[in-house]
Amino acid sequence: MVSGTGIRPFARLLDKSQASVWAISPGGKLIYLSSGCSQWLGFDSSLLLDRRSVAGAPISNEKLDLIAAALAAPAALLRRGTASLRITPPALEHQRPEAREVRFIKVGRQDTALVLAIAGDFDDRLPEPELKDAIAIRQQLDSWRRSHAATAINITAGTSKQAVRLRRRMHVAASTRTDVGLFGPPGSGGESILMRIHELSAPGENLIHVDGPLMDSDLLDATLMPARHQLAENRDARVTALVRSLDEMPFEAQQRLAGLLETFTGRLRLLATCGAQLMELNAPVDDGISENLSFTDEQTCGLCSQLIDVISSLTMVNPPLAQRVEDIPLIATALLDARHAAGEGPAERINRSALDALVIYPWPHNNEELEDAIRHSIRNATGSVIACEHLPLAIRSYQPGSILKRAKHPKLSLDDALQRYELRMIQETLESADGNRAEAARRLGISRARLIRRLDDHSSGTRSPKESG
Amino acid sequence: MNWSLVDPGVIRPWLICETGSRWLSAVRRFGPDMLPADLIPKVESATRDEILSGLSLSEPSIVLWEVGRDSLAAVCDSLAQSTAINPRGLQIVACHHLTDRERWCLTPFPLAAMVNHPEDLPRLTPMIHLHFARWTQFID
Repeated sequence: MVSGTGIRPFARLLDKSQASVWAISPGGKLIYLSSGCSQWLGFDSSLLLDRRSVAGAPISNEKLDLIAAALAAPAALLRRGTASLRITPPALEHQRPEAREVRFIKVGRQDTALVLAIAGDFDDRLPEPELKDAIAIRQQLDSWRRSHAATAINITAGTSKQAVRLRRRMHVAASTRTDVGLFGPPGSGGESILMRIHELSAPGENLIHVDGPLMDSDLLDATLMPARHQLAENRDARVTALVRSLDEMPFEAQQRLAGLLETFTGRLRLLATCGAQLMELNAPVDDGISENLSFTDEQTCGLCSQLIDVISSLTMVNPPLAQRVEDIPLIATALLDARHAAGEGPAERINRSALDALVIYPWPHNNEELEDAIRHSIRNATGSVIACEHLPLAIRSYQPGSILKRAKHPKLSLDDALQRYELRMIQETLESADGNRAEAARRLGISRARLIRRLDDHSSGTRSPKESG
Repeated sequence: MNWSLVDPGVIRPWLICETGSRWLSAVRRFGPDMLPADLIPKVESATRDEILSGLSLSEPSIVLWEVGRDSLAAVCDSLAQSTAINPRGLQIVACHHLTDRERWCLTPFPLAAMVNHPEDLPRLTPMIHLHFARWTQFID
């Protein structure tokens, strides 16, 4: 037992606190056990004094020796200086003591090191909620990568309905060499999806990029000249044209392109992004997106009918990022992973407040804007975590605007609102004037007759706000 | 915003009891899209007492309670009281930091949903549409 004048008050305090504390001498023997240990173990813990308590050391079959050994510090303690262990000591008689978290601390150096152990309820080994979230996102991301190893690109990450549909269509498009029309708003990364589809469905095949809005029929001819020569010279040759913003391409150029596709049917393939409006030519009939569209109207969708026929082989919809809110944490983490792996910065995860800011932001420029935001953040972050202050100003300072400005409300007419406001003012003034109409009219600066007429109007012809509610 | 200018018939109060403004921002962002097109959410932050005193039987409202470990008992009490006051109100609980065992404490109360993060809110859109459709049916 430890002796000395200074330690006694300390030992008394420990006994009084009911805490289970014990000490192991440099020789590996129990030299102190607080009274709390007796309560925990269910017998007088002084019986354990001077018994060996060393992990892995040979011990007899005597129960007290077994219990003393169970209280030993893990072997790693000598190296690390601290250790954590959950201990359930064996029972001396009938009832086994409850399991307790124990923290061990090595005091002193090498051969003279004393070990202090404290049992209690500690939650320092539980991961922080913040870390648990990060782990959950990481697990989701890993699972997605495993499941979609071939076609995985960051834009398609997520668990939303839209993400699942996009991945399924992408899988179909990648497994066959066919014409594809990808509808999505600007900045939604349609080109990278089509590039991946091309790599998977026709590896090694020549790919020609065509910028739709810049084309007229002559320029299109010039752009596709090498492809035409290749297709004309070699009957086995195959070429893919990746057209950006096909719906913005002039109609003459569209018709020229349709003519070339007709001439080289099956050998010249069209992969096109279209962004004017979201549409899915081969969507289910009850799909909300396709209900509103009429593909017979060329002017509406900006595509000539021949090209509509071509891309109807397979159309895909890449919805705006704002419609895939639940995917944003996953996509952002995937983008961060890619940049971290490329050595752009030390940040490995995004904290919850930054993720909240990303989720709430409306992303008018879609995935491109998110990519820019992550690039900006990883360069700004100095540690392993991206916090709110590392995000671009536009995102971290965004506050959702007035609800009335954003929503469409047919009932919100100016006349109705003015009428309600007028009635409310009259009623409040009447109340403050104790129902005296003449006084109320004077206070409002109108004649008594006008005030009565207004009240009559509201009570007879016009519905009051309460009635309309 | 001067709400007196808006037809009260289209206003749906959406009260939020939380520390901070995380859920207030989230509901302001997603709330309008979660309600039927002809309804306007009147999103307000309120204390527990303000919510309980402001609830009335006739009002089709949504209440979002943020629950932490420290406030679990208090929120359980509030849920019981608000259910008694307005059984047709829609109650959502934001319980990010709760363990499974603590979540079980909330199950006896008529909660419409439990959400963890703001991105979970848009998933509740069909349920909220249905809630208001049923409520309209009730008042008809």
